[in-house]
Amino acid sequence: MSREYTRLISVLGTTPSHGPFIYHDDFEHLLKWTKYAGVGDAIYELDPTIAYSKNQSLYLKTRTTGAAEDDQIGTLMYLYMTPPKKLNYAFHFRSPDFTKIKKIRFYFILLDGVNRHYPTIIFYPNTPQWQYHDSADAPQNIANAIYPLQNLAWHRVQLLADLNSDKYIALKIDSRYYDLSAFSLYHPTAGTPMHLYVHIDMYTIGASPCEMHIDDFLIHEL
Amino acid sequence: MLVSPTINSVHGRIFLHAAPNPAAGAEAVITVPARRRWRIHSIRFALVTDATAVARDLGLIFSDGSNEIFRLYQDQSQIQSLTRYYQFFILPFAPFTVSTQIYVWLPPLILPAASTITTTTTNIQAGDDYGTPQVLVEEWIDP
Repeated sequence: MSREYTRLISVLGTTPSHGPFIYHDDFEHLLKWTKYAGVGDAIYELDPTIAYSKNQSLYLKTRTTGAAEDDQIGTLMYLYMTPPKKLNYAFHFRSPDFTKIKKIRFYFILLDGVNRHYPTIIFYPNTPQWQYHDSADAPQNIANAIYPLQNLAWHRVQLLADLNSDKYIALKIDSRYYDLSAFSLYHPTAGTPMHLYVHIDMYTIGASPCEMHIDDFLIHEL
Repeated sequence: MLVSPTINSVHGRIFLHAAPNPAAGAEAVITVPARRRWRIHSIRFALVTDATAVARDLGLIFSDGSNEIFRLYQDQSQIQSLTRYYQFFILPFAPFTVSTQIYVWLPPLILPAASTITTTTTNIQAGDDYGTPQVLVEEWIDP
């Protein structure tokens, strides 16, 4: 049977999940994702030569022609989820050269019709420093989170947050665990839209393009 | 957002690609973009010849961007002050002409990134003008 007549399924048995599963994406297609920023000859494509899981990953690269500091590219997706839940948001990523990246931002925003729940993590590879955004949406260093990432290796990052109490739970980077349970997340009053918005992006640190592969994206309830 | 599948997929994205419209007196060039693999299904373009009384004979040169792979010629000459439409299809048939339309066989082709298809025109004149080549393409991402 040729592949176009084969239904895609997700094999959950290999996916570590502690609670009800919400969404898993192996980047075998890009149908649910949208490019964020990225101008000129920036690349936002699937790459069949590199994958953490299955056959492909998402390849992001800022523009090469006219590359400048703070060039940006990312990916985003909308899901439909209410009410607020305890969530674990995780994905694998790698870069051939993290030193070209000024920062990587990853966050999700739940608009539940009343509030905007907005847990955010930012990584500065050249410091290296991991940060979270506090209840005023201001970046704060995570204590002892000076964890560098290795070029060309797949790294797994997990952001765990309780959108009911608007508190972070933890940040996990590879095998490192950082307890964030003392910190509240930004949750201003918002309008009527109701959805879960997922976002990953990166900025260049200089006039060279930066690159990143993303694979094995997962959101599940805790 | 239009997204071509990667080379893991059996079928690529089908679309009609408009190659650059060459200036008068210049050959037409079709180029496979970076990180792409193209299967060419058909090519169509016009050639308008100027008043210079000489027969033009048209062919196509297939290249990987630096090395010629092969040439494809057809046997219908075009004289001065005519407009002819050349159409290449991946069907095995002998070239034939109907009115202003010239039909030519095209072998099945899958071309890697940076490959080119260039017209080659014997006796091309400064006033001869190729129109925009329209290429029916099946495209994959091939990094």
